[in-house]
Amino acid sequence: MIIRIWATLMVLVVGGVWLLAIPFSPAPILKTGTVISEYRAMGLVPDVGNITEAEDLGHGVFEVPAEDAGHLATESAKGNMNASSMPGMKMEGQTMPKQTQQSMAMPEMDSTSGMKMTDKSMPKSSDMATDGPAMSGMAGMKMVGETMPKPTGMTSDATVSGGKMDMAPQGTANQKMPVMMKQSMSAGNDGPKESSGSMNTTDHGGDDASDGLVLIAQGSPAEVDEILVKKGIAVDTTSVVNMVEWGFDSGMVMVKPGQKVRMKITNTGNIPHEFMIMNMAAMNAINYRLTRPDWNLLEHEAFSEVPFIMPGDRVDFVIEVDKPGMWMYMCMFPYHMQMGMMGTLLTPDMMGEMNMGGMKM
Amino acid sequence: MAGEYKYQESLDWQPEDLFEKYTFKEMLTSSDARILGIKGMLLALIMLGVGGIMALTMRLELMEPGIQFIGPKPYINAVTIHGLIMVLAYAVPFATSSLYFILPRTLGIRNIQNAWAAHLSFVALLISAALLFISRPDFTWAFYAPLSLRVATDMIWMAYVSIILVGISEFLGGIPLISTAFAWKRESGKRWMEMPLAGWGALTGGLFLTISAPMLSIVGVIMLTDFLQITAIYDPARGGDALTFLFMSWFYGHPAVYLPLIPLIAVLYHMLPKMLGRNLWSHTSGIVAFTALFFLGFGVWVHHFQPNFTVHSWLNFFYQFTTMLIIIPSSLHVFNWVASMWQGRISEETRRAIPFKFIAGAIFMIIVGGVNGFLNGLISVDTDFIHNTYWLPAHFHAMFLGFIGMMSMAVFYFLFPYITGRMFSYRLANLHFWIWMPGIFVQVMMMFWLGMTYHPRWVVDYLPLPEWVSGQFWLSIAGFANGFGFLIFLINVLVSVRSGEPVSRDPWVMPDTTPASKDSAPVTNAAE
Repeated sequence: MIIRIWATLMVLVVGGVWLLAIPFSPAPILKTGTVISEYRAMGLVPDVGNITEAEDLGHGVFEVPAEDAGHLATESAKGNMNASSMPGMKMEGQTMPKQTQQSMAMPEMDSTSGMKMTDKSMPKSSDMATDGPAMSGMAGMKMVGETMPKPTGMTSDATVSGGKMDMAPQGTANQKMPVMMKQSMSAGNDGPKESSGSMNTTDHGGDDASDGLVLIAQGSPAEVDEILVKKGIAVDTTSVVNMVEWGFDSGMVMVKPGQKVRMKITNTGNIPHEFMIMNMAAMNAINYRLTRPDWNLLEHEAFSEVPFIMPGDRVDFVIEVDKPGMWMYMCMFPYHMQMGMMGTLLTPDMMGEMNMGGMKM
Repeated sequence: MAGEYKYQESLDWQPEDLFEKYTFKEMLTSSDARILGIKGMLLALIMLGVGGIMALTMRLELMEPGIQFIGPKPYINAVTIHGLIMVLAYAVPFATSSLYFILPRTLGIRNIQNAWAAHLSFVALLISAALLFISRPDFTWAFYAPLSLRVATDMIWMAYVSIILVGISEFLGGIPLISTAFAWKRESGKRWMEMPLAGWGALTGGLFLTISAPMLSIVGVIMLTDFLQITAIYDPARGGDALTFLFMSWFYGHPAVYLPLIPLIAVLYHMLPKMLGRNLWSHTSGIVAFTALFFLGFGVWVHHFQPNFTVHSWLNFFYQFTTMLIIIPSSLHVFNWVASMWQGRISEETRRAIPFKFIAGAIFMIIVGGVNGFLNGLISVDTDFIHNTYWLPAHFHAMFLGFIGMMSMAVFYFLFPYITGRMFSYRLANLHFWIWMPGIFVQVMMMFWLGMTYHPRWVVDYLPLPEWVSGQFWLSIAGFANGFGFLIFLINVLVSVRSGEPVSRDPWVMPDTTPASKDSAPVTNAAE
């Protein structure tokens, strides 16, 4: 009798718990507390959309440490014995805008990685895969060097002098991150005074990372509205992307080539996040770096990046997709992407190409 | 050497149908150690079913790469419930309950002392499990803060309360064990060294429970207050420190792995001589092993998060050293069992006895799991392929599933005639053993294989690498086989409790067929 009660109980409990936990698994709630809002009220955390960079600090936290610069130099010297090292030689004695050196980072990384993964996964969308790193680097340098104005707030210490082989890596290593951060900061959050200057540019940080994307506007919703009105641009489609711990609520944004998409990115989580978009070649370059234990992930070649989105902050992008392709957006804070904070922006014809490490999505 | 067990037929160990003797109401309220033991074991077996269905769900999902049946969220729910329930609601209660059952008769005293604590422990565990099932946490079974404080559902506070309650339950569960051991000393007036090894297991196991379990409750309380934003001890975003959580949680966590182990070793020290029909190889080495394991068991917990570079180097080396020292008492235990079997002939009846088969399987699996524990202790390999790969689950599945799972089945089959007055079906039990033995071995070995190929833990999906695909496939097959074996066990229990062959005398009195040798002293029970 007791054993029968026990057996019935067992069936009920086992079945009930299974039903509760597996088919009726509760969805994670997006707001787990009001930690940030309370501390915001106390003035310990900046207000929404109020992050500015103190340019006079100049403490260089984003710079590459000396020992890593050495590694970068060594690896670049190894990998750049082909034509891609030539742009560096040509730049001898010039004073270069930062973007130029950014655009050089990609060829270096990719030439050392041998472009294997890029060739496999992204034959169509990546120019670099087909044209080779050297070409892309050259093109990027030339164009950027001619057209891009020097961004605000930058000193000229990126000047590369001397004809040494290690010139390019050093310049890249030391200047890349500050440029990225400052540029994105000013573009994203600094307010209207700077935004129109740096945001209107279509070539945002080197064309090898954009690769089919044209950035029309980036910044807070009001700024983006202002730019759109000023330029008279109509947006074709809007996509709302919410960041939470740990993921984007829409992991795939589908855009047709030629469309202008407005991405409304809101951090609905509890901790700060980063938002960046890059193409697959850049992803693979970063992936390659992650597999190198002796290299820190100190720089990345993003098409666009907002390095710091506080909880509750919203950042808008307006992007024109001018050719078929696939791009990824993610939060590159340590382990955030590994925890799931990444998504894909792609054109419909790229669905068949989507092959994430052998897994079908 | 003192005799471990008086193996001639004793009045204490007579088959009896306790389900007939006690009514359902008495079953709930009786303070008889046997009833407390049965209640705990039956609850633990329900929890084994719950943990098992979660394991099978995960195995179904992991059988092939890609996501076929359940998504990441239900999967991580299943991981959490499987881990927490199997360790805290199955292994520990089963071990302590089975020790409750045998302890008074082994020590020769009427009943376990402080039975109220055992009652409260049972109730606390029941509430705790119910709260856990309702809250369905997804913070994995190690509930690492601050992840466990952020990724949550509305009902997550219940899981923290559940953690508090399970700590209280374990603390209370240890009290009867200690006080019964002291009652033996008081009533018999003998020296401590003469206490049967089951008593030593009860003493050290009870001390493990009462010393370590409060820390689990404290961790639960802090997690609750952190979640309610009263404190911020574990939340780095608010000024806390995740390392504090690691040190506090694993201060419970390492003794916790001995919580089910020590009571079951104590039961094994009772069962083995009885099954073999002769004394243990050594009584003193068992006492030394229990004592050393007790003291060392509190000094190794850092090895659970050692590859973190946040652990200072001299601390790393210290804990590597203490972890290595654990090998000594563990080996003393295992050597004692093996030597007890080795020193004479194992009779035909013993070899055919189902509990003995499970004991032998458990000893085999603890050797499998223990030998690679040596590797796990080395920081160099720990940093390389052990931590956060399948190697670690392989190690503790060899210990928990291999030793504690097999051993709990041995105990249940051993006690079955004493509980029901009937014998279980030999054929079904034999089938159960011969499914579980290879099943568990293959499962553990496949986990080791996956660990060596760097398969990450806690993942719902994996890359279709050939070594991972085949490993996961056979791991799943072995898992399903083990589930089938458990089903056979259930059928066996349900059928045999009604229509099993009635047993009139102690069924586990086994003859010792070792031929007398003039070199070896005759087996005596002089020190009884």
